[in-house]
Amino acid sequence: MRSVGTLGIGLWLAGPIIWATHFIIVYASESVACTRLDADSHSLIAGIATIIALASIAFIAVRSRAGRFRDTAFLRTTALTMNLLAFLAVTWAGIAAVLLPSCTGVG
Amino acid sequence: MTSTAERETAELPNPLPRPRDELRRLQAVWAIPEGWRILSAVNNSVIGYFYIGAAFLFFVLAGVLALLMRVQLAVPGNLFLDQESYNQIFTMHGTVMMFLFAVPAVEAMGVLLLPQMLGARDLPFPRLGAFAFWAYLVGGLVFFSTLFFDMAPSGGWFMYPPLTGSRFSPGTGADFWLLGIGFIEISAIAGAIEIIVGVLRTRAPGMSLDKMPIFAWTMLIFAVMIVFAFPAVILATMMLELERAFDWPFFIPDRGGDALLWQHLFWFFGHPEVYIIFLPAAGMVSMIVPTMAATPLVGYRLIVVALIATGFFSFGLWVHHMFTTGIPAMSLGFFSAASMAVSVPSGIQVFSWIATMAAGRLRITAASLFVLGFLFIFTLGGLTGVMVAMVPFDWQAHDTYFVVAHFHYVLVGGMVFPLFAAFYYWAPAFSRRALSERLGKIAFVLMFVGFNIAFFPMHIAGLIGMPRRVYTYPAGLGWETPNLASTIGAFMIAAGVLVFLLDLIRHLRPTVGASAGNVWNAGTLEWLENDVHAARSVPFVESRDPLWEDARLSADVHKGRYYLPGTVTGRRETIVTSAILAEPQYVVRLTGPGWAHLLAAIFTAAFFLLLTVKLVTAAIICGAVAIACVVAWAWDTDSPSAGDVDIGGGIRLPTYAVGAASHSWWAMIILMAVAGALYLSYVFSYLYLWTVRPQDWPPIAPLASHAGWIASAALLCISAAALWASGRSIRAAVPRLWLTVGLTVVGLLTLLLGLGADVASHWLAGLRPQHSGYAALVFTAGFLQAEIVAAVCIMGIFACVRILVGLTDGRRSVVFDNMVLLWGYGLGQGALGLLLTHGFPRLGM
Ligand code: HEM
Ligand SMILES: [Cu+2]
Repeated sequence: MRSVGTLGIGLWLAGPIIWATHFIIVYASESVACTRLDADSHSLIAGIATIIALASIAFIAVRSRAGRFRDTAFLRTTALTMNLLAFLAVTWAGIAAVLLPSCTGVG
Repeated sequence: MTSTAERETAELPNPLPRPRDELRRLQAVWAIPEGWRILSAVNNSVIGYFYIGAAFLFFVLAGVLALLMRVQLAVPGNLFLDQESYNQIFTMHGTVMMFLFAVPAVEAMGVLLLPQMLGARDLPFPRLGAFAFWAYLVGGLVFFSTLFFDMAPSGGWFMYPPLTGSRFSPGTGADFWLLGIGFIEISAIAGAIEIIVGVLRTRAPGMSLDKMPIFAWTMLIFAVMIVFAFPAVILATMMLELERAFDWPFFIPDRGGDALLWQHLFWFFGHPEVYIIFLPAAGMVSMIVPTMAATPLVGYRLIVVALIATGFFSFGLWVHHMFTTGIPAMSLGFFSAASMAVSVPSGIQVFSWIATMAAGRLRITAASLFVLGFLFIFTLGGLTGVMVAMVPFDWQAHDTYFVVAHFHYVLVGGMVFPLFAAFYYWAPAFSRRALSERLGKIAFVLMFVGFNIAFFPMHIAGLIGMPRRVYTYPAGLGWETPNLASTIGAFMIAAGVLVFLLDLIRHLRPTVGASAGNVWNAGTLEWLENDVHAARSVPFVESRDPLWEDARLSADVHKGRYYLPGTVTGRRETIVTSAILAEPQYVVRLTGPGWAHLLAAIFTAAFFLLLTVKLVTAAIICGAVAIACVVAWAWDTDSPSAGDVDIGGGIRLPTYAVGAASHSWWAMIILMAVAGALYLSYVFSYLYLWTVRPQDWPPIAPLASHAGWIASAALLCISAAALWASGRSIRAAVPRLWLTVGLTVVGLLTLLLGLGADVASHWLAGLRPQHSGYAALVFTAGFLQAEIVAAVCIMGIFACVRILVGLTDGRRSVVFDNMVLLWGYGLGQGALGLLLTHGFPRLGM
């Protein structure tokens, strides 16, 4: 195993960090969209955020296999698996956000 | 990897024979104070023991409360407890179990096990750890005794306002909860900082992250989660206490507050809390299973991933506790999906354990029985968890006994059973004798069968409509049988715990030097021969199960053939290594026994508890004494460099480090993360209230003039300039220490004035915190900034005095550097506060 530096640790945790960012954006934008804009705009925001998040996870997963973690099996496989889990979690939450109606109760 | 046979003994770092009095001197510096003076001890083995003992005491006390509740509910219309007593008892049971048992118990296991497991001599901040323990014990005991004076809180363990506001809870019970638990959370954070730095910086040379025992991984993630989750509830308790004491209406809807804000903040902490409790317990299981199956853990990497993923995902679930509060449909679906996603990583762990058991042959010991019990109960709890994660089901089950059944399956299954497994597994490492297998198996059967008899019927009671938190119920609803069964089961659990206590009395003989040893033939370092100084020498780690890989390791370590076999500076010391690769970096000298940290803990507890009963003057005196004790304790922690020292194997290490290499720099950064998380929770509260109550914002409420923020920003800029200049002057080629002191004083004064200008501008515009939720939040920014400024000022005065008496200078600068870090943080937080409270209302949204 070799040292990867602070940036490397950030890259290693990229999947979960992107998941968290996506989560905050989708959740926080709902209340803003519903009070200041309209319901459709939120589905749009959530959809775009989800696509960007999924694309960046996929990109980082592919790149980090060759890049910084090339000769460190532990960091490489763990990063890859975390990206996979994050991809799943983003898809899951993203689908709910895009498909369900925003700004209404269930009533 | 070198195998045992290949390795020439001559390769080991230190030659034999060892100098005659090396061991004696090592034992002398690590000696534990005798007799009653043991109260001043700071060795992790002593504090760890006390800590576990205290946590177990609270488990028994809260368990007795559970029995009282079960007696009351055994039959319909029972008159054993009246309604108010029942309310106090279930509130105290839940609160004590969560805050005084579960979190401290796992933290205690970390304090006891981590140094030995990582090959360190002790944790990096022994007095901080001892302080955290004493604060918790004193605070917890006083908190518990409120029950005997009919002064206990009765609003449930999650303390929802408006029920807990001063209108509906006028007594002091709620204040005891808010101040007492707030204080105990601070002690948990102190412990978390110590654990993070310990795990990342004091591992044995060679133990890179991928060779770290899973338990250490879980404790690391546990501590990081505490750093980010606890501040949210600390902020919430602070705000509710400000509301109760000074009428700042954060949570009162008629006055521009919002009751759901509490729920958001509480559950942003409360859901991760469940995993904070569960992850270390899972870590214990990951240590026990490989030993009992005599085979390495299957899927080490997958488990690490699962732990990290759980740590992250668990922060995205909190709204599932609020499914019935009328939030929008999108949020429901979103959080429901997230709640189901989190079960994936937990599933990964369960399958890894099962695979490990299948790969080896599981020896059926008391410890493995508790692990199997855990797997069964926790998995069932996880399944009902997926059920209540589905919104339509939750609407039916919410606030019924189904939920009580669910979370006890998760908590008792996921935490209590692993803890008992851990007691049976690790007792031989810390006691002259192992615990009795026979009594252990009896305890297990009683607890396992009792648990299912007690809690399975609660699912049914809940589904046929029995609400939680009711002190009695009428006959004829079909609730009698499940309730009677639950009571019988609860007493079976109690019988199991009694058998365990009997086992402790008969067999547990605490020791630090003469333990029963590696009776299970385990592979990790805590099973090396230990004494007051932990292992005799610090091994070089080349694999995940070093004792399995190298049969002679134990003996060589014990003869002192590895690193640092004695004391090189005549003080307590341990090796600080790099965070990822564990390369030796320097030797840190650790503090020994003392009284100041103990007094500091007692007076801090007194400060909080006296505030509760509104004895403000006495509280302030105690607070001042506590600060004086902290200063006294901190005074001799920054020892000067003792030159380079030899730890063996040709490795010479410095004895002083500054900047990012220093372990105390790391602690300061983590403390700043805590402060930052607190402030972000505040920013969330401000923006949240704005989305639900925009009508209270300016221009309706008065807005501070431009002059206010301009003055404040200018003062912060001057402070920043002084900060920069004082940092340069202390490291200048020809240091002028008076200049450093002068610049620091100017910088601190302007920091203080910047805060004053900000608060004054709101006040002069006519805003008062009592006006509305909005106004209260504006002044909260000042309140939070005042806390940071006060801390920076105390550290600044401390640093200046040390500079003047020649104890701190450009090279021996840790005290000064730490102050500078927090000062810089304070400037950033101040600027963010200005942007939010002056800038945001001007956006005109
Ligand atoms: C081992 C035996 C235990 C028994 C017999 C037991 C029993 C009970 C009972 C009867 C209630 C009250 C239900 C109600 O009236 O709504 C309750 C509530 C609760 N228990 Fe336990 N419990 C046990 C262990 C634990 C443990 C180990 C924990 C946590 C680590 C825990 C956490 C809680 C919490 C958080 C509540 C909710 C309190 C509230 O409603 O505010 N319990 N328990
Ligand atoms: Cu939850």
